Amino acid sequence: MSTCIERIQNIFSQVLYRDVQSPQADLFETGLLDSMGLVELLFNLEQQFGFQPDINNLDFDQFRSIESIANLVESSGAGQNS
Amino acid sequence: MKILGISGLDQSLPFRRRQWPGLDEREYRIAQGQDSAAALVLDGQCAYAAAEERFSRRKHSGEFPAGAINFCLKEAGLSIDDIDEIAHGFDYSPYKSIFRLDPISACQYKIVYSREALVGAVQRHFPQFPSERITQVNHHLAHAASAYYTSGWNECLVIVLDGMGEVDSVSVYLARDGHLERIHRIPATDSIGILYSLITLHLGFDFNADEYKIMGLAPYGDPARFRSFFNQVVTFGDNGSIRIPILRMQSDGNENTYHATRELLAGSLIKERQPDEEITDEHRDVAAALQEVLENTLLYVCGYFGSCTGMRKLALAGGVALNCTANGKLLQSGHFDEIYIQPAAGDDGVALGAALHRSAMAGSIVNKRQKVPFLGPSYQNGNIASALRHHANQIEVVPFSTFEETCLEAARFIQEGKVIAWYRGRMEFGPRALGHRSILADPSRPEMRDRINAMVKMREAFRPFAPAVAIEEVHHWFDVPPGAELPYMITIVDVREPYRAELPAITHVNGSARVQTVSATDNGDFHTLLEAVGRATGRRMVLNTSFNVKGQPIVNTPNEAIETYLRTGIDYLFIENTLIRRKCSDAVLAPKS
Repeated sequence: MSTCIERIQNIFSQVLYRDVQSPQADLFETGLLDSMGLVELLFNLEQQFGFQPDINNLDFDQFRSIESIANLVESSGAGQNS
Repeated sequence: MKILGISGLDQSLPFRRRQWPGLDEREYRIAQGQDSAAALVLDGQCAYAAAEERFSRRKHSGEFPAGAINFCLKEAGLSIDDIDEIAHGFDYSPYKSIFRLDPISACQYKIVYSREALVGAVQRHFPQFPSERITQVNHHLAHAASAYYTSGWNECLVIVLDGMGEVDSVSVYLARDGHLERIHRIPATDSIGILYSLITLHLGFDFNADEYKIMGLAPYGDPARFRSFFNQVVTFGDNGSIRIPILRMQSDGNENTYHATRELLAGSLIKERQPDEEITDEHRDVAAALQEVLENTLLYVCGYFGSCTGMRKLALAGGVALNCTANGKLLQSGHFDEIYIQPAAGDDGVALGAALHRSAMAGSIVNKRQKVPFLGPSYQNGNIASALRHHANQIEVVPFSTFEETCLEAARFIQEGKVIAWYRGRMEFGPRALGHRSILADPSRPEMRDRINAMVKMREAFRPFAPAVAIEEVHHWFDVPPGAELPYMITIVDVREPYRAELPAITHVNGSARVQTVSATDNGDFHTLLEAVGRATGRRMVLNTSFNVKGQPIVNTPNEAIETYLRTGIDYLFIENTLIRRKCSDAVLAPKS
């Protein structure tokens, strides 16, 4: 069974077509996540994990790397039954 | 309820110009928020609607639609204080925080997309209008509302396809009992509309403006040559989704010119054509393959959701729904029993949809099939007389006492092979001239197409002209069932084989035509003219093209009609029951009754 990190890596590679070097890579510094990419990421997180953050109060640091996104999704309790 | 719908983002282009000076002029058009318009919905039905370009005289203008609003208010006898609500057909507020991701996006949100920008624009023109009565409607929801609430159907599938609305390119809705429920979306990063516009740009035409020219060019090409390229670029998922990974290529940050994607097109497809370069077979073949992939995409998405919902009625809106060839393929596909395409399917229609949606939310909606959308301004005798006086030294004027006599004379000119401009009644809402602001001619004359293209429209020779035909005989000339209603000139059908040679001016190279049916009930005056033409030529049909020249919006006022007439090769102009000709014209007029 895929881990949360692997599933998010899969979203980046298979859906967003972004080649992220490692789960720790800074997605903003490397330009891998822009506003349209973030919108699409959120859409896919909702589809795959049922994860629905408060879109008007996003903490971008929580989206800085695949690892931090996985932490956010897991700590929210989303996707446990997905 | 009196609800004014508006569309357009008036700071969209100015922001791009300020932020990124030095872009190619055509690259500035890669932006949302053009084709602004206003529509006034009174007690659940649209009473007045017009695009701002018809007033500003700047084609595809996205400026705040002050001219269109003032027209709506004046015609309705209302002041802005009488309006219950102004509804805008964009709502970026759910994405506000995402635009904070970088300073330029944040600035763009504040200046172009924010509610504050909208309220500021409204109150610059109408300072007393209270901000709490200004509302925002999601762009695709507004498109969907424009189709559903004018379809006359209680239950149907509604599909919106465009370049981009906020962050989406396709939205699928189930419409039932007055409500719209979105069941699927495809993000703008997989936009078939943006791909079509990018190839339009790559072929030397204008993004967000000239896509219909590529549609016209496509039948001259062979799709086979570039089919495999487009089949790799656009792939279909197993859930009604489409994938276009090349639109995700990044290289230019916020400029959003798709530079990397266009580089790929230059390397893997063909090199970019400049606007003044000759159009070659290579360009025609690209257009053909692009058109084919668009048609396949439309058939796939609509077919998929038609099948999984069981819906047999489909309402369409969004800029992609203006692709008449693809609409024709969809009609022939058998996926649906009935298809309704909202005639102002582009972003002007979002003004209509925003107002209809808010009206429906308030419980005040009349879902009745929209007749021919003569929702724009008409001009009284005083305006016409003033325009005639203004040009008195250039024109001769022959008034007729009845409309029947006017039609008789117009029909005689058409039968003689003359090109006439036909101006009467209320202006059309949407991109097509449907018989109130039209240039008309005999479709049977082989020279007519080149003549109008070169002398009147000053446009590309490859572009076809459309026929307007009395509904009673549409099935005789075209491959449609008797009584087929195609009143909006938005669907391509085949000219029946025996008549293709007889109708050279309106038959496209592949034997098709973008037909408009005209009925006595929905478009009475134009039908009366076609009856007269039928008596003169044996065919209740004319070539019908919009009354404008290249780069100019369709004429609005009588004065614009006369000025456009005078600077083109059009033989005669009819304004209501008055014939106008140049003083230097040597044509012989029939005796006045």
